[in-house]
Amino acid sequence: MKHQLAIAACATLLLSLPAQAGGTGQFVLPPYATIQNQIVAGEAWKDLREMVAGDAKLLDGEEILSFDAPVQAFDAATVPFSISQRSNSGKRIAELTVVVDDNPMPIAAKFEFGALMGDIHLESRVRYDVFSNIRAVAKTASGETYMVGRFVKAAGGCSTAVSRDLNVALSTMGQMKLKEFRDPNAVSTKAEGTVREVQLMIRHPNFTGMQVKTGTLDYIDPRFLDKVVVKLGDDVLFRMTGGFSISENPSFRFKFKDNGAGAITVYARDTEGAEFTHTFPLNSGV
Amino acid sequence: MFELLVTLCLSTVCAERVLPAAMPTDKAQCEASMNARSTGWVKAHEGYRVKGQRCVAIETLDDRAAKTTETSPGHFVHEGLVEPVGPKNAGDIANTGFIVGDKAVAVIDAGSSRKVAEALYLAVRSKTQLPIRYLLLTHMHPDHTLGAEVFKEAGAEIVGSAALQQAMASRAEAYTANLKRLLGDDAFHGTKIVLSDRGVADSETIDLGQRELELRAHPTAHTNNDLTIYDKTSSTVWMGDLVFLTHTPALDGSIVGWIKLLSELRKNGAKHMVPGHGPGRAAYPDGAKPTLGYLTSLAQQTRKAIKAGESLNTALKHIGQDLRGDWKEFDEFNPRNATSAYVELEWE
Repeated sequence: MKHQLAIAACATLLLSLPAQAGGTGQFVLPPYATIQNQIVAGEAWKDLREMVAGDAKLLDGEEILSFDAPVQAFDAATVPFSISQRSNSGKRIAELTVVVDDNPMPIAAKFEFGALMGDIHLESRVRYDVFSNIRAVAKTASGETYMVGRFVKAAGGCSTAVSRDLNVALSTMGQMKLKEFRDPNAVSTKAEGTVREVQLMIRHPNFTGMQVKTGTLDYIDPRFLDKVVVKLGDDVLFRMTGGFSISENPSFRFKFKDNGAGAITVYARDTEGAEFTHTFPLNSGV
Repeated sequence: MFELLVTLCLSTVCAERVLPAAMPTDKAQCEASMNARSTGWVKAHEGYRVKGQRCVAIETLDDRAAKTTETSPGHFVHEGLVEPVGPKNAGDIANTGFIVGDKAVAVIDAGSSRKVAEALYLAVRSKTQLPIRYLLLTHMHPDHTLGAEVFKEAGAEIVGSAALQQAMASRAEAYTANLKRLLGDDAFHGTKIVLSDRGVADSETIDLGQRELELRAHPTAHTNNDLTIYDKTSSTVWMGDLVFLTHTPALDGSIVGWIKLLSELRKNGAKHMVPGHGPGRAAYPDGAKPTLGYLTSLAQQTRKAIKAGESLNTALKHIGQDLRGDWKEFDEFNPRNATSAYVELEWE
């Protein structure tokens, strides 16, 4: 019953901001409907902004991306978010940084995308230490910087003990699974350029350093995946540089354009230098 | 017999707390030992100081003792409230109790705070002067364990599943911080997490004197450290949070393991059970049916969503929503259960 404990007894920060139109200034229905949990102003971002975006002008990310994160998460160790690029944005996103402002390690992950990723569709999960904004800062190939974010009510997820069973978490570290999602209505095709969707799952406790060892008050040293490289044949789909704000058993669901190579290769490395590599033959389109 | 009440202060918060002795004391014994006991306690609890102390006859402490029902001779159950943990209830939300043999007492679970555990301790002492030899913890969750120190002071050995100690140690800091925040300084006053002394790897029988309790540790289900206690004398199994009634089940282990365990509840001759939450007595094994039904449907819906390719964020918006029925605290626990179920079952 720790779950109710994970919910801060803070006064509810209900954000009832009205839906915003898509930067047009006109009173039209925005393409992304009502956002229930708009980002809020906070101290942490002032320092983070330069680290993440330098002095770049931050454009309204809602114009090119839709971003989904829950208003409230009941499992603060597993807060899902998804980023979906609008199909008519006309931009190629080259880099994306995910930030949880008020986490002890705010930069959750930085992704560098290869051209085969096309319009970015990416979902993952983060830990939440205290109520905070989560934001995605996207740099386009043409040098613009867009930002989009949400405020999520969740707390306690960084010190939550990993896993249901620590021994299992340690003994299965590095196992991977790749799930393919197939549109049942789509015609099976091997054609290059076909958009495919997969979920990469990696078993790793992603220790935060805020968890305590057995029978002692010592902390388990932080140990998390700091590098993941996903390739389709020889083409890089994405490289991720990660921190411990990414949840235990990191999961990345994404879309990409097929190049016909037939297999995805994943390289993952953690902060202790342990390396894990797997190759997954693709069944889609076969 | 007399109990020692000590006014303890931490910063500006002062409250009178009961400090148990390993054996019941009469007035003279209580007064002779009180300085050593209160000084010893303060030494072990950083920041606290003694403001006053007195020895009081147990008979005058009735209003502070937990209300218990003797569901069978020597078998006492205290029903926790079905509501969120808060300052007013001091975290008295879990079912607890004690079993009295010819020679000793075993207490089962300790509540969320020292305050709640003291009430249970006084309930024991108002019924018997036998030594409290065991505190049996059904699992790690703070609403069942954070009051444990009171019984340690009363001389009990703290026994749980073999996996309990590590599970609690790794969560001690988070549990302490969260409970303190939820209960507030007053209700949390004096609470300090202590770990189990010994673990049961599989099963073990303990004897309270003409009364044997069968302890059984289980593979990961509600948590990875669930322990059931079978009191043959009263034909009752203490299920801990393997069984919820009224209060929405809370998943913090393995939905697959939990369903398996409840589907295979052994016909061991028991007639009654004590669920972890809700009414203090139900039929064995049928009392597990609502929990099993909820978990089975939750697993089915989760698997279906995963199979349909729904992402976690999408699935969370609907999994289990139609299972509300009469469950209390549903909006808080169901989404979390759905998250746990999803991240477990997506690896299947």
